[in-house]
Amino acid sequence: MHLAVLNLPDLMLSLWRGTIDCTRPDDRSTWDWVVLRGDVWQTHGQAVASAFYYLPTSFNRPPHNIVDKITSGYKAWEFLLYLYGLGPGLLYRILPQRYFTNYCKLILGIWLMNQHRITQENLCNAHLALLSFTEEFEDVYCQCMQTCIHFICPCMHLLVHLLCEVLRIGPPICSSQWTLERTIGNLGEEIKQHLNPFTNLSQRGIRRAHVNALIAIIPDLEGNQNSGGDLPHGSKDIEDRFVLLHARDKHPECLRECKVDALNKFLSTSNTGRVAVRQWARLRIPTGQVCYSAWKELQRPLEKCRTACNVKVCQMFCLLCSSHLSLPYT
Amino acid sequence: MLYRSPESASCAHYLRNEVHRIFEDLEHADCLDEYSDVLHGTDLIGAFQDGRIHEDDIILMFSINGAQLYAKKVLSCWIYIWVLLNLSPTERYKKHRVFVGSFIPGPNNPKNIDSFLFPGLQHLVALQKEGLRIWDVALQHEVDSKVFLALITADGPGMMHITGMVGYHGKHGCRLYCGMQGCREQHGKHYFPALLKPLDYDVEDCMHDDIDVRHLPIPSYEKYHKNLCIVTTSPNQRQYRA
Repeated sequence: MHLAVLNLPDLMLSLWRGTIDCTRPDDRSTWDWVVLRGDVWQTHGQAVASAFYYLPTSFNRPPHNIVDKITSGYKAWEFLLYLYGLGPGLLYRILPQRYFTNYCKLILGIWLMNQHRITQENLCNAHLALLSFTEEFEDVYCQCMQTCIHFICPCMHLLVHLLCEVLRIGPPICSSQWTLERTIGNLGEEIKQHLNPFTNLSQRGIRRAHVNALIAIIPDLEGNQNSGGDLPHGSKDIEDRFVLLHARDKHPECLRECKVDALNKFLSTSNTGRVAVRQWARLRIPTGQVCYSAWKELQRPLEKCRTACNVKVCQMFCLLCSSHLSLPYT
Repeated sequence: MLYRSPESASCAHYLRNEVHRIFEDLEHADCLDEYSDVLHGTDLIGAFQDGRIHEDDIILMFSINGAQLYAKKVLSCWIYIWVLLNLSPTERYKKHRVFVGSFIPGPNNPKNIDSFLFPGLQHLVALQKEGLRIWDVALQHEVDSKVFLALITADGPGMMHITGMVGYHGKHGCRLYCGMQGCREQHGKHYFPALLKPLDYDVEDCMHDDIDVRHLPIPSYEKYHKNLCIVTTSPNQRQYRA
């Protein structure tokens, strides 16, 4: 975790912004990779911020404006999306070609290594990309100069070892520090008494242990919590791991005749007479992602939406929904 | 607790089922097609093959880190957790499955971290020595389980505290103990893992040639033991350096 989303972004950004230490007689003005300065840096930050509304909610926290926030709590997750997601698009043609090529090798390697399932082929490609990145990095940035030796952070060396580590202990994500960092976050927000945070924190920990012990002795204590499964209140399971989620129309609404015709044509059915349809706002698909229908989404201002892509639902899928007389318009 | 209810007991059987699957796969091929868990690494497969772990055992991952409790105040508190590798990867990292090990209060970093880890580890050792008898609801019989500590994870500075090695700015700074030598600036104290020897470079004890990244030294127990002997037999810093 620290390697890909904290150390490397830190190193690359300090190079591109020219904030890394400069040892004399080296001179910053000779560094042709320092491109994120002045107006370019400002516009770059705005571009990152404008991408906010076009990253789906399944991507979690989208990156803030990096110019404003880089020194004040830019989250690891934001760095991840920024450097390996938005970066290649936003830095294309801004970063000189040789540095950009070098950067792309890093992205390829890290993308493959960050997967939950890494195939043998992925491993070979990732390793080649990362080796080539590290070797080329010294070539293009350091140019064998003694004054540039501090560009080669300790994290660069670890990239070389990633392959062996995957072979030895599986994908890095399985043994990464995300779990602990999240736990620290969870415990940290539980602190209630700021006068003596350490005592308070350990008491919270002890309480957790007590609860665990109690549940171990009397399992029924936990019993009813999970009875509802993981489906939220008011949702409707429409099989094949598709779930309709609120909001929805209170009552099915009757359609006008022309609408019934249009619907029949679209679904290739021949419903006649009164056809009532209930609209739903959201649909959870088997991947766990949630689709939003235009019905509710159009009522919100753009600043409150997170649109990844707009799709028109296919016929097969509508047939599935139509049996419930509820049609999510996407 | 895990083995009390049939659902959670079958969750914990992930390890058992996965290990069977891996060994079946390995009968037909030399290596796995895909890596998606710690169990797929050679370390744990080897431990199963040698009989150091059995399918009924409990496998743990230890994870430690220093936490900055407040953004604007230097108050670091060290926390460690245990993660149960018997559960499937989709399950084991969830909040209610993570076991908090202990808190080491600050405000400074612990000086002797071993002393703080001792109570937790002693508990572990006791379980390893005496074994843990568990009634498994899903199997409907009693299993004799040992606890196996498979992984110790920490970030760079945390690892330095745990392993007692030099840390990332040292001459042999690699946390995986590959022993690759770093280079330093003329008057600098920090070493950097440069592969190529800088031009016109003349710094004492960094005069090694370019390093081929494809043939890095391999970490070995022997080397560690040899170095450890040097450390333990040196009465003072000067003799150690010599």
